Amino acid sequence: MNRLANLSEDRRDALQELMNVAMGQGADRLARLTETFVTLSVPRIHPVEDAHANLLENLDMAGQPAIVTRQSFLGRLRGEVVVCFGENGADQLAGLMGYEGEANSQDELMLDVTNILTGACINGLAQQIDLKVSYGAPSILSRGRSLKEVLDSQVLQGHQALVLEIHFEVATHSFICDLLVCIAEDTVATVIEAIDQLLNDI
Amino acid sequence: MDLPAQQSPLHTELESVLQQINLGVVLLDRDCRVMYWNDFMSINSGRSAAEVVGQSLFDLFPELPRLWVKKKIDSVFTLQNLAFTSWQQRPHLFDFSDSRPITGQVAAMYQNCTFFPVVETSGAIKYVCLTVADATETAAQHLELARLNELLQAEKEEQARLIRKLEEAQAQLLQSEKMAAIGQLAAGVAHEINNPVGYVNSNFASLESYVKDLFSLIEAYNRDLPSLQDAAFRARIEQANRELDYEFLRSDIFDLIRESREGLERVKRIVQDLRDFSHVDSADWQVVDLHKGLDSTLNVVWNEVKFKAEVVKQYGELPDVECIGSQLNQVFMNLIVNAAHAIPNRGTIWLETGTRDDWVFVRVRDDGCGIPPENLKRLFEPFFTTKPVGSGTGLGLSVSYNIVSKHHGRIEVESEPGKGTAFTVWLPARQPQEDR
Ligand SMILES: Nc1ncnc2c1ncn2[C@@H]1O[C@H](COP(=O)(O)OP(=O)(O)OP(=O)(O)O)[C@@H](O)[C@H]1O
Ligand SMILES: [Mg+2]
Repeated sequence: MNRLANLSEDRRDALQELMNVAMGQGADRLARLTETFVTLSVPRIHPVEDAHANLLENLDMAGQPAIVTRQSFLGRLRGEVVVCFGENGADQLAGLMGYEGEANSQDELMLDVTNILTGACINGLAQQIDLKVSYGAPSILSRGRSLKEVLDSQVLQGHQALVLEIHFEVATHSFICDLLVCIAEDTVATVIEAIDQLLNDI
Repeated sequence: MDLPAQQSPLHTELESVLQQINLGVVLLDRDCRVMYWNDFMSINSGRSAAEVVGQSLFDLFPELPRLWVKKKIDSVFTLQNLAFTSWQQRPHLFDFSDSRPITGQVAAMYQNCTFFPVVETSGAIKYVCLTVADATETAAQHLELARLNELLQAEKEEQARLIRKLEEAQAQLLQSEKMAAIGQLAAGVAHEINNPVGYVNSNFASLESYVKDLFSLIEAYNRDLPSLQDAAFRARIEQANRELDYEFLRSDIFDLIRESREGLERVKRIVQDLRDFSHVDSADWQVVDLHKGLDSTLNVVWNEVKFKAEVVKQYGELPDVECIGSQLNQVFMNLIVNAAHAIPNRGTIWLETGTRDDWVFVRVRDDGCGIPPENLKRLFEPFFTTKPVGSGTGLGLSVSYNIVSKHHGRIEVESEPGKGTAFTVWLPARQPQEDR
């Protein structure tokens, strides 16, 4: 059932490649939008077998208290992106995102950044495997608790089969946040198919 | 507006759906000019499509946050991505009036908006579509719930505060009942003892003068003894004097009388202390010498203290202090007894007094077991005690705290586990005028 947990070496490499390209495109677009240099790290792939407990132990970002947001992506590729912000949210990006002079907009700014990052990552992936995805509106999941606490307290539906850990950085504005892309188990097959397709094409 | 070249058979129907749907639909080009404007938008903005199409959104609605909207639309074009706004963060993007004009409580329409790219068959993006959904119903319910929640929270806090107050009041009542009972008992005992001590004392005065007279009589006899002719009689008297050790008797009898009168003085003082302590005479504001209160309190609890500690008094110069003496004595008593209880075998209790600025302080310091840091913040809670059941009620400090607060003063604690503890009572010499 959960074929991603024991992904073959080839498939794993291909998936990594797919994600690298997606992140490259994402970063490029973000750079054009914000007219600054941005970095999206090469994603670390965590195939997860069952409970999220062992996943959390492997995540770098899970420990510190943070503001956590989430956004769904829907379609044949389905899941949620969880974004971990530091205590200041995305305040450093206010200028870049057109929030200059907007009072009390910390939450909205974070949701905007969440939406843009989700779009950049998922669109990149979806386009390569030629799928249509749509998005739900982003929302705030929790404040002041660490990702570990947040995920521990949630009943996670249909345990994620594939988790991608991505680090986003805008060096000129000393802004960093982390993304967790969780793909729902029942659409994992879509990803595998796409990988196989890709492998065949080579 | 430009429509796709090949028109589907349902094209007219679809257009009227778009036109009439209960959702604002706007098409914008890269320069934020309005390209399409449906009925929802016309009705709510009061501007028809004919008026707005072709014009810049910002010219039409100068109140829109221009920089922010521009960034949103740019991001949709550049990232080919959706963008959202939610009523929770940005309640009214467009200044439309409330969708519940009669029964609604809110003034303006809450909106959820979505921006999405309209991708042409070529893959290029020519327009951004903006949809505006009326979220007033949800928002109103949500806000009402939040308001109720706040109300509940406030009520809960108020209840917690009342419970705390009740506990304090109960504690105070218990303690003051206890003290009143002790006071009454003390006053009763003092009164009972006072009478016999009074007449014993006055009898002793007469007794002393009678004994003096008796001795002067004997002295007179003895003076005339040598001139007595009857040698046998003289010898008998001298023998009797020797046998009874008359010289010793004469000097000792006065010592005994003096000591007994000292003892009586002590009894009188203790009785007075008991009366002072319980202040049967006055439970009112008075201007008193705190040292006197301290001394009489120390006498009252002396039995609890004397086997445990040496008491060192380091009294400074104190002005008379305006206070309810009996209540402050309760405070001193509890601090001294606590200090004695904190000393495991034998130790020292220091009673220090002095002034700083307009404040007077009385400090009870001990070299006893000290207080662990985690207990420090709970000391003044009613019923907090570390003493075994039955031996401490845990009311002493909470009542002391209230008494000192009533005197517009404060109590400070310093303690080091294993080294000792100091409780300092700070009091103003005079009470503020208004609430006496
Ligand atoms: N000088 C002190 N040294 C160490 N611990 C102290 C001292 N004074 C108070 N405490 C601690 O604070 C607790 C509360 O004191 P408090 O006088 O309120 O109640 P109590 O002495 O236990 O009972 P009671 O109601 O009979 O006075 C004590 O049980 C003791 O643990
Ligand atoms: Mg006590």
